[in-house]
Amino acid sequence: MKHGYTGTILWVNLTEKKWWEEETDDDFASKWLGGSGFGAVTLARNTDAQTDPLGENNVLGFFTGPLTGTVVPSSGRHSVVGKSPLTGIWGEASVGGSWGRELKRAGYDGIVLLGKADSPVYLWINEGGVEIRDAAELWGLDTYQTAERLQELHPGAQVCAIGPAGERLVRIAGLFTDGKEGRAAARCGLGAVAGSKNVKALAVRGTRKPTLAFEEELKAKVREAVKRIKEKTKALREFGTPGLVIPCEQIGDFPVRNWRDGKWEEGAKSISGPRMVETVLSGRFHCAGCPIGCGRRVNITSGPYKEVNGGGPEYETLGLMGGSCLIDNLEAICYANELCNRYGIDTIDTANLIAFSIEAFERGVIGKEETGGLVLRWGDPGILIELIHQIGQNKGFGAVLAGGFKTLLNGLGPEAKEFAIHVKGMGFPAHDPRAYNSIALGYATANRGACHLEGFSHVFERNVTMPEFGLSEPLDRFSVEGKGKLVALTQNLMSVFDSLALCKFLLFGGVGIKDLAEWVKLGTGFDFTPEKLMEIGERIFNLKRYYNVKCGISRKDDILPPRILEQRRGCGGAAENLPPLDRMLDEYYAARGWDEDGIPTRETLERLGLGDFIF
Amino acid sequence: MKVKVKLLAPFKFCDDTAEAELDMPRNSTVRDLVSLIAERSNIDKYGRDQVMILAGNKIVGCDDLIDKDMEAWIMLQPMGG
Repeated sequence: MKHGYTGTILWVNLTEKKWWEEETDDDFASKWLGGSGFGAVTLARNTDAQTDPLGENNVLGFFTGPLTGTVVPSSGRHSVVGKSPLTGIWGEASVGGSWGRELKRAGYDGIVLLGKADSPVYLWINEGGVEIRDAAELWGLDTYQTAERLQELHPGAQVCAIGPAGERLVRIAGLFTDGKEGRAAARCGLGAVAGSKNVKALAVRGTRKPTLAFEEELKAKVREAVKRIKEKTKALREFGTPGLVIPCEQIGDFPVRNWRDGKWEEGAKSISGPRMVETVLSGRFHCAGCPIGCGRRVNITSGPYKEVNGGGPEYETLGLMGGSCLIDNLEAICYANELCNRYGIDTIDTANLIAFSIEAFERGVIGKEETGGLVLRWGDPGILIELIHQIGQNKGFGAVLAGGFKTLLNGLGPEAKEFAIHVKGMGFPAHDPRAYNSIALGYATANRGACHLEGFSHVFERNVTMPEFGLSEPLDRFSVEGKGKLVALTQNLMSVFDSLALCKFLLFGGVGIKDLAEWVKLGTGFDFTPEKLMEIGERIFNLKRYYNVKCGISRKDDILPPRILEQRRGCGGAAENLPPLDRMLDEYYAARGWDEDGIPTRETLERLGLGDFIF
Repeated sequence: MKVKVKLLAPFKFCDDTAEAELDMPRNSTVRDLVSLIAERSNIDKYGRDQVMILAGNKIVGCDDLIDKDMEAWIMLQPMGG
């Protein structure tokens, strides 16, 4: 096996209480890279359209990349994959922190969980194997408490855990790492998949370091890059992702009142990155091997939200709990964020579902009868917090929200679909597609539902360039022509990032595909070129799409809510723009080599070496 | 040519204000404007390449020419997810 990898995947059958190791070979590694790519193959080979996401036939995989745990910057991430109980299709969540590095050090490139334990368990993964241990004492604990208890039992271990929401099969539950720092594999409801398997946590400890093919050369390249990254990301380090709040509000990229309005200037200021620095910020933290350090620690010592002490809200949380629910109280959002982390639920879907509910209540689509007597109002932190408790505990009106948009809309009339802001069942991140045309296309075609990170194309309509792909200047964000090609290209590039399990924020530090190819070549010894990596990215994206096609996905599902396609906001930095999705889709499908219904052609699949998966 | 400038947090002019009207020669570029603002504000704390400028609803580039009656809003470049 080449360097960088351990060459071993750990498989655990929870039903039979058995585990075994499978070796991966060079052909496999060079075709799928790692992380998300290994996950794509695992899901495609072990589940299908008939698999019940919460049944014991679903799989739950955790995968690192070939550079995880090495000197390469921002390489502490890992991907979690499974069939999503939220959307019923391809499910994936990428997460930072230190757990991925620890898994690599324990000797594994990945872990795959099969079956279902007959009672709550946790996995203790140490060098040379795994123990399936009783988790009765952990069941019911929140994610912070679980990490703390397991670190008492296994000093030095890194913990990935679900909270009470995952135990109760809440379909917006995630898996959380790094204890109180609250790093989250939040999206797609994969915490509920862990809960359905009776797996409370995975504690990992290891000391092995991966070998590198050309260690000294790699270190020299990395030293040079780290200097550049630090210089170019000063603002990201200073303000974290909350630094996005003010500029995004200004350019019309920020969700306001359930995506209805275009301006919220004073509110944005009150929950912004600079305001956080002036008030509740108590420190900053880095994921493993990261020179940026965008993580926020917040501490509130008095007032109604004084228990807060841990990871602070990210931009997405501020945008959706703040702008979309009109809550301008930063301390309340910090509190709500910590509650979500402790219950183990996705702040993005949580806040989207709550904002939707407030609007539904305002319009009379739902009433007190449905909400259990709660009066839902904009700008009310009490309602936000009460509904988070209900979702986390899967009770009351929260139990309805806990199923996500698909379940929620089943019980409501057609009017509700107009302002339910999701794609394929997954709520929007806090970026408005009316502010960047490429985001519209990216949300519509992302394999896991509304996701800005699968394409991350809007950064190329703003401030990032890629001269190696002919993008020497940022593109006009409202232009249409070329956006199909752009999104296909950036989705392939992001598939490379996710499969190397590297943080995409490296882009802001000036890291491009040439750097990635050089690092992975020096790290593994594989003769990777930028072109080769991009081909792998394209292969991985297409395999996920083909998986979704087999689950029934086609053009009819690559859509956006009517509010986003038809309603101009009339004010703010993108007041009049509406993304022409259909036109962009035509160009996109052509660029992808898919037919006009969005189905990858046999020719495309075979060109990418996916012939084995055609079924 | 007069250019109205507004700095958004964390940026501010050295006199603690956020708005100003600056005189720019004809055919100046956005880069020239940023250089002038840098002399009078704190934007260099984060680096000029970490600034984004919005004119109306257009995100302008450093080499773009300053338009007559331009209103430029200067903010941190959005970085992050």
